[in-house]
Amino acid sequence: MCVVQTLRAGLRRGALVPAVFCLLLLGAGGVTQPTIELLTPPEVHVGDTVEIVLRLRNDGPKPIDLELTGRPVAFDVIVTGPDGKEVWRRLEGAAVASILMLLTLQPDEGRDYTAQWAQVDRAGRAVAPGQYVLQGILPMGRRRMTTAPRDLLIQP
Amino acid sequence: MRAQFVRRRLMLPLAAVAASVFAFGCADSNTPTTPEAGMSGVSTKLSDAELKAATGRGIDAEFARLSRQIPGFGGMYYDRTGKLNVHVKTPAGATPLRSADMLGALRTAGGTKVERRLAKNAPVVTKAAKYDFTELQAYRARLTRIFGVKGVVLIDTDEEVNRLRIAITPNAREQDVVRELARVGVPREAVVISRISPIERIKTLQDRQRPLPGGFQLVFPAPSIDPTALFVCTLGFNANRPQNPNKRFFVTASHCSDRQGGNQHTPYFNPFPVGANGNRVATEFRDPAYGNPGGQCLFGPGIRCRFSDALLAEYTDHDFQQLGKIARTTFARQRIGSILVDPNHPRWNVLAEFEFPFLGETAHKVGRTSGHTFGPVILTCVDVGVSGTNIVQICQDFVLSGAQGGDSGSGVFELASDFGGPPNGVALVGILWGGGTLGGAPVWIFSSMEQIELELGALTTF
Repeated sequence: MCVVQTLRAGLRRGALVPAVFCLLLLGAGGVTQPTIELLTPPEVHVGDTVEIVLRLRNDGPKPIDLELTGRPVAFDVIVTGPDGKEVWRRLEGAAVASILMLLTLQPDEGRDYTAQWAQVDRAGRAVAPGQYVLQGILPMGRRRMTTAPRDLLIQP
Repeated sequence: MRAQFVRRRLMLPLAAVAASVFAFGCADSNTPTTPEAGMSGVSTKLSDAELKAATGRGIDAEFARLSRQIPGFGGMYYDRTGKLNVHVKTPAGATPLRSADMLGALRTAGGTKVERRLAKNAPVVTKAAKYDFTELQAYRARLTRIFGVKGVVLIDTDEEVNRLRIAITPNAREQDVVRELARVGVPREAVVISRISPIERIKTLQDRQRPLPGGFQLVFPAPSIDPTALFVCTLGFNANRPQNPNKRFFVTASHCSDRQGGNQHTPYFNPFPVGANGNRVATEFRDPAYGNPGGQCLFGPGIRCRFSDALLAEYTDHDFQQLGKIARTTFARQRIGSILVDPNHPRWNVLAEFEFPFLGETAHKVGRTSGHTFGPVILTCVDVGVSGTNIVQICQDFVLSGAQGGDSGSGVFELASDFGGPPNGVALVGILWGGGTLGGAPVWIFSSMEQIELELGALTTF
C-alpha cells in the first residue's frame, strides 16, 4: 500500500515528503505505521456537498497501536484552491472533544472516517468552479500523519 | 449567565503538605569489625577465578579493564576543582607510580573512552588506594543477596573513596548489612555504609494511584464507538452528593463514557484495565441525556443540547476517593505542562468553588496528557457546537491555553493565591471537555461549576 500510495502520489504536488518517508520505512525493514489515504470523488458539480473519507489501514504484518483524538475521531482536511492558496480547513475554529482513543489495528484491518465539504471557503462563501486539491491530516498522539494530496475538479 | 448560586468565596484552611527529604551520605560508616575474616569464618581472600571474572557494566567495566592493564588501578574521578584523581594500589615496598607515569599509562591503555577525557585535564593526581578496582568488583560480585537485607537501597563501587558503598534507609539496621558482608566474606573496611531515603519512581498522571485525586488518568471501554478500542480521559475532581451520603463520586466529562448522555454504567479503570475488573475504580452513575434542557436548545431540529459535558461516576470503593485534592505537577505552562507529580508538593487543595469564571481571569487545568496548563479566560458563556456531532453545549467558557487528547474531564480551577489565598489552594471552576484553535492559537473549553451542578445536582467537592 505504501508503495502504491507513493507511486500514485508521485506525479502530484507535494508528494516528495510522503514518498521519501514511505521509502525510509521500507528501507528500515517494513511498514511500521498505518497508511492513510483521502478518498474523494475526482469531480463534482458546483454546489454539491463533497463527501470525504479518510481511510486508515494497517498493511503491515504486525499489529499497530494508535492514539487517536476526538469523539468522533478528529482529522483535518485542507482544501487548496486553483491559485494554490488555502481556502478551507475542516478543524479551523472547531471544538473537538479532548478524548483519546487507544486503538490496535491488526494486519489488514482499517477504519474509515468521514467528513463533508460544502464547497465554501473559510468565510463561508461558495467557492468558484476549478481545480482544487484536498489533503487530510490525522493527529495521532503527539504526532500526525498527512495523506497524499487528492485532486478535485469542481465543474460549473 | 445564570446565577444559580453565589458562592464566590474562599475558605482558607491551610493543609500541611509533607515534604520529602533526599538525604545521602550523612552518616558514612566503614568501621571494620573483622579485618580479614567474616564472622562466620568465610575467607575474605579473593581467588584468582574471582579476580579474573570480575567485571561490571558501563564505567565499572572500563575501570576493571584498566585495572588489569595498569597494575594497582583503583578507579578515577574528577574532583570539585576539575582535577583528575586516580587511585593506585601500590604493593608493599614498591615505588608509587608518578603522576606523569599514570597519565602515560592511561593514554596507552585507556583507548578512546579515556583519551577523550584526558586531553584538557592533565596532569593527574595519584592517590594511594587500598584496593584495585578488580578487587572491589570481585567483592561486589559476592554480594548477590545484598538486596535481601531489609532497607538496602543501592550498592555502588565508589571510585571517589575506593570502596564499595551500600546505602540503607534511615530505619534500616547497619548490623544486618555487616552480617551479610561477613557471611559472604567481604571485608568490612572495603565497604562504606551510608544512609539514604528510599528511592521511589517519579509518579506521573498516567500511573496507578490510590486514593485518587483529580488529574489522574481514567481508561474505559466505549463499545458504542469502537468495541475493540479503549478510551482515555482525566479524572476531574472528587465530589459527594447530599442525597447519596453513602456513596463516593468523581466528576469527569460526559463524553468520557460509552455514550455521551444517558447512563450506560461505563466502568472506569486507573491506570488500565487488567483482565475483566482489575484496576476498576468506578462506574458511571449519573449522565443526563442530551435534549432540550430548560427549553434553551433553540438551534433547530436534530440538535441536542446540555448545559455541561459532565457526568458523575461512583467509586467502587470509598477509600479510592481523595476528596478536595487535585494532583500538582512539577511545572505549568500555557501550551503544555508537566505530568510529573511534584514530590514535594503533590496536591492542590480545593478550598472553594467558583460558579463560573470572569473574563480575563486565569484558569488552570491538570490533565493526563498535557499536564498542568493555564491561560486567560477569553470567552464566557458561549453556545458551542461540537465537531462531528449534533451536540451544542450551552453556555461554555474558553481559555487561551493548550490541551490534548486525553485531557477531557480535567478539573478546571483558579489559584487561591490570585485572590489572596494560600499558595497550595485552588477554587474549582469547572470541567474541561474540548479544545481547538482560535486564530491559530490553542484554546480549551470547559463547563462551569454552575452548569455542572444544574445537571448533576448539588455537589460537595472539598
